[in-house]
Amino acid sequence: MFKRLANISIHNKLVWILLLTLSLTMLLATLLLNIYDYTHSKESLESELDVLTKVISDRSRAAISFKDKRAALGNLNSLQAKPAIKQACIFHTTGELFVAYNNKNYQSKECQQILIEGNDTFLYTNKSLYIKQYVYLNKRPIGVVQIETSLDSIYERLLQFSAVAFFILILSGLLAYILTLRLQHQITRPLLLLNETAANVTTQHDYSLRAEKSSNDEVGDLVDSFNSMLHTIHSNEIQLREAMIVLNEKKEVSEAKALSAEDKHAALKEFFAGVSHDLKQPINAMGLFMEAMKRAPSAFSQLELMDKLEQSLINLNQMFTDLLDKSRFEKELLKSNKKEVPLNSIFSVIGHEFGVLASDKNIRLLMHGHSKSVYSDPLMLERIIRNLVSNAIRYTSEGGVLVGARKRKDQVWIEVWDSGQGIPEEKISEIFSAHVQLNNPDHDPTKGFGLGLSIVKKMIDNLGHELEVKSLPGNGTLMRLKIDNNISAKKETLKTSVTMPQISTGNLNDPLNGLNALVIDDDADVLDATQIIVQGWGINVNGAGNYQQALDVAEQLDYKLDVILADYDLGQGQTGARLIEELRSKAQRKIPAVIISGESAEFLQSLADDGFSVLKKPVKAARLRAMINHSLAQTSTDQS
Amino acid sequence: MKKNIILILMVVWGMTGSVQASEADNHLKALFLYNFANYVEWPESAFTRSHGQLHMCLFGEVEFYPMVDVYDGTLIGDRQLNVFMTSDIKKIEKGCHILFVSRDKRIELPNFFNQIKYTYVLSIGERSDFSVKGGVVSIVRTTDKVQFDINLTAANANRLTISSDLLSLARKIKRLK
Repeated sequence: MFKRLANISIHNKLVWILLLTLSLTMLLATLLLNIYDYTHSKESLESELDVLTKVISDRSRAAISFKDKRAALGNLNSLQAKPAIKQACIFHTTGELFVAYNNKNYQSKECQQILIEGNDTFLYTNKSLYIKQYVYLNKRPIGVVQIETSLDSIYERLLQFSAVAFFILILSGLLAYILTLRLQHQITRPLLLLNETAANVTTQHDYSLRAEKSSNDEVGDLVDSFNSMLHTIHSNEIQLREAMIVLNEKKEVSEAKALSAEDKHAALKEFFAGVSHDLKQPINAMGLFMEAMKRAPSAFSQLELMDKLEQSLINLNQMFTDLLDKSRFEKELLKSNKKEVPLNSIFSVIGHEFGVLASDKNIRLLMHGHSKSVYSDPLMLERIIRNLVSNAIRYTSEGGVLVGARKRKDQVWIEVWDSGQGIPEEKISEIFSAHVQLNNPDHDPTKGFGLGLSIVKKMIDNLGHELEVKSLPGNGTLMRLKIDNNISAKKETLKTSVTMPQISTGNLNDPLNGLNALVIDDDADVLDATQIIVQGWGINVNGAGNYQQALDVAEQLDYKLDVILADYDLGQGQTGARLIEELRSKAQRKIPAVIISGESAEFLQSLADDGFSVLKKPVKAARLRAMINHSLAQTSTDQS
Repeated sequence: MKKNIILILMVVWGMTGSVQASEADNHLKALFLYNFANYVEWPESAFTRSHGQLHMCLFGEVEFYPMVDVYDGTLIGDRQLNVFMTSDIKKIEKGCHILFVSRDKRIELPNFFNQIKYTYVLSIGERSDFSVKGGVVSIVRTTDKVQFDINLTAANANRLTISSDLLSLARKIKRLK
């Protein structure tokens, strides 16, 4: 039973314990009270009967003395007042019956003197109590009075008492149950709250929770102890976490150190790979100069080539000095020395160095934007541009490479355009990986891209510059180095149009050579790309970003325009078609024009029906060139 | 003849029964006399000394004397009972506490109490008018049993205290008016 009690809820336990205890104690109390009452009743009965017997004895003495049965019987008959008395008898000392009284309500046998042992005057049988009293005369017994009384009254009383006690037991039990139900919350509630808090702590692992204390008894002490324990656990947990954070930091530092060591090792490898790549350029150039010298028609030309050869040698020497100094390299890599760098010196060196390589590949190298200055590390910047140009020339087999510098807001953009094979978009992110270059020692363009780009990227990151790569496979690639440059912003004013430099290595026999063109596009990148492509054909290009700029530029040129290349949608509701109409109107002649548009084929057809030459985006260089030629031819036909 | 025999037999049986009844009565009378001693108290002055004897005198010829005599020498309270029988009045002049007057002396009754010069005497007679004529207790034979009457006035005159138990058993009690 106690095992079963142990597994039930505290609420039920309390109720059970109280009811069980109450029932047992009340049962015991009832039993004891019953016993007491029974004993007391018996004593009372004995006492009463004793007195009665003595009275009868005294009163019967004379009757016995005088053998007056009538008088004696009269005495005994007075017992009729006591219904519990079954029988009363008076015997002579000889044992002979003198007189007898029998209660009619009981079936009594004939009077018989009972034998009582010892000095007792009472004898109990199942249903009766007997009392015997001697009658003395002059100290001599002359008779015996014997009375038998029924114990029924005592038993009845016992029964009644038990019934009442049972009733009280049930009633008080019920009352105790109701009171227990109501009052047990005083004990169970704080325990249940404590239990709930403990469960929350377990499930949520939140050691900042605290149990609510609602009493100052042992449960209250338990709540205090529990909270104190939680506090200790919480503090320890915090300490543990702090220790973990410290350990993690140490781990990270260790890992970073390990990585740093790996990086240094990798950087060294890259360094040597880059060095071999960088050194090839001037050596190549020198080889080419030597070839040119052999074929030089005159001594003057040879002298000029000798100068160039010497310059290449100086560059080579400078490279060895700079690159082979390992400590310098590390400093260079990790710590830049920024200052204002005029681009003309760098452009001049690079133009000189790579111009011969380009013409050797029968491609053109154009440099413009010399006058700008940027805020950067001159040595690093030169290496960056050299690498970009080197790669551009390497992967361009026809067309050319254009290096330009432009001002854009607070930035100077140094751009290297090429008309090479381009880079698939998904491979752009790979070209800066060192292993691509290291695993491609043959420089096979189908397998990888220019060596040293990973170093370039690191240097760019180190200088805080930005490199943007745009490429159209088959059309070429744009590498745009963005340099934050407030200094240059102060020195240069923003120009809405860019006048192409006069340096041109374009083919003088090209029919497009020397034409004046106006290119209008509201997308700066497209505008730039178109300008560079058109510039490559020896056309003098004037760019405009919107409708009004185009009008302004045309006016500056006094409408001496040979061809107009206009985007259809110029933004703000303006269209290239309308611009062309207006320019033609102001020039008072039909200037050849090409509209470039990304609109639907039906729309383009409608423009063509209106007499415009139309090109659908994306535009390929050859198509553009063909379209310009077609437009020029058509105009001359019209005029003739 | 037969009738005579039967008659004789009936007379003999009747006489025998009468004798038997008389015997029982005598026993009862003897018991009465003894018990009167137990339920009557005498004043202290009735005795010459503190533990003096209680004298019971049977005057005249008393046929149940032997039955009374068995009580001679027994203690009534702390006094010894002294039983004796005499027909000589002089012998009782010294004083008796209980005086039973037999039937043969009843003729002397009118002068009897004058002759007895002492007080404190419980006088007992066998006639119903004994108590009326100055005696204290009369033992009477009713149809079914032997009973007694008490003259309480005479008892008081003799300064006797009669137990209420005794009074409760009396057939008649005569009182002073």
